[in-house]
Amino acid sequence: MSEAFTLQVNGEERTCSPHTSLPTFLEQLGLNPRLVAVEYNGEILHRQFWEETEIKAGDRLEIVTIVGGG
Amino acid sequence: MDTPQSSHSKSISSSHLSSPNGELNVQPLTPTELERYRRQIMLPGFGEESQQQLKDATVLVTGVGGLGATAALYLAVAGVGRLILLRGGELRLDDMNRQILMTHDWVGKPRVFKARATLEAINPDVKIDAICEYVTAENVDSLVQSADVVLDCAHNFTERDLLNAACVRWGKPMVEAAMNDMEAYLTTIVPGLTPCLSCIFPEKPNWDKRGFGVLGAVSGTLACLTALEAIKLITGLGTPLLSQLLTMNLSHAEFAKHHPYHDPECPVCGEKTRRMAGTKQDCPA
Repeated sequence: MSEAFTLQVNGEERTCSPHTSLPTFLEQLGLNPRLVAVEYNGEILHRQFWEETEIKAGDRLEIVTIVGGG
Repeated sequence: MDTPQSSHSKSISSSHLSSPNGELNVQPLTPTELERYRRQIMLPGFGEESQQQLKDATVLVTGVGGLGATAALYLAVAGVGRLILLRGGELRLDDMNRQILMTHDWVGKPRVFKARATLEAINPDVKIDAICEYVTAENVDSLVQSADVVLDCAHNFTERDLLNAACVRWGKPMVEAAMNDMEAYLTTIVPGLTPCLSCIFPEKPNWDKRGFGVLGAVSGTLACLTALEAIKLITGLGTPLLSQLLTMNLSHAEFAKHHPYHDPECPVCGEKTRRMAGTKQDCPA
C-alpha cells in the first residue's frame, strides 16, 4: 500500500491515504458531505463529480459548513 | 464571468426594486432627511438619487435578534423608507449580550415591538411594521411580496428554507446571513441569476437554535455587512456578494470569498434559472 500524502484543507495541512474519494475524505474529517460546500483547487466542484474525485497530494480544499444561527 | 458586477446591481435596482404591486410611492426627501443623511449622500457613487431609492424601498427583516435587529438598525439610520420586522417570541435575559435594540426592562415582552420603538426614536422618518410571528408557510408569500429586499436572519433552517423558496417564487433578492460561534457567512441571492440557499446547501442539519455561543460583536459584525448588502442592492453602490459566499472566522479575523455552485437542477430555483438563462445569454452558470 502506498504512503499517505498531505494536502491543504482551509489553509491547514492534512494527511490522506491514496485512492480516497472526496466524500470519504470529508467523512474522515468528521463532516457530512451533504452539509458542506467545497471549493476544490480554487474551482467550484459540481456535486455530481464528488464521488469520482480522488484526493491527490497538494490538493487545496476550502470547505464551508452550513450554519443557521442569527 | 461568474460574478456579476455593479452593472447588474443597477439593473437589479430597476427590475427588482420597483414598488410592490406597481404602486407609485415617491415622496421626495425632506430638508430634515437631506441633513440627516448628508454624510452618506457625500459618498462617491451615492448622492441624493441613492438616498431617494432607499426612502422608496421596503426591506423585510426576518429574525429580529442579534443579527436581524442590528441589521435593521443600520438600515433605519441609512434611511430605508419602510422596514418590516418579523420575529415571534419574547425577549430573554440571555438575549441581552447582543440584541442592542432591547432594554433590560423589556425582558419577557415581545422583541419586535421594542425594536420598533427604539428604531422610531432613532429615526422617526422610517415606517416600521412590527409583526410578532415567525416565518410560516401561511405568512411567507404575502410578506415577501410586500418587500423589495429580504434579509434572512432567522435562527433556524425551517424559516430559512421557507423564505428562500418564497423569494425564488416571487423573484425577490434575499441577503442570506448566518452564523455559529465565531464563524459566519454571507451571500446575496437574486433568484435565477445566482445560486439560491438550496443550491449551496441542498440539505439542512438538525439545528439547536440556542445550542451555540455568540458574542454580540460577532453577530453585529455580520449584521453590518448584511445591512450593507441590502443598501448596495437598493442603490447600486459598490458590488454586492452575487454568486459569492463570504466566510468569516472572527476568532482569527479571517475573511474569504468562495464561489458557490449554482445547480441547474436545483429543486427550488432550477426552473427559474433555466427560464432566465433562455432569455439572457450572459446569465452565470
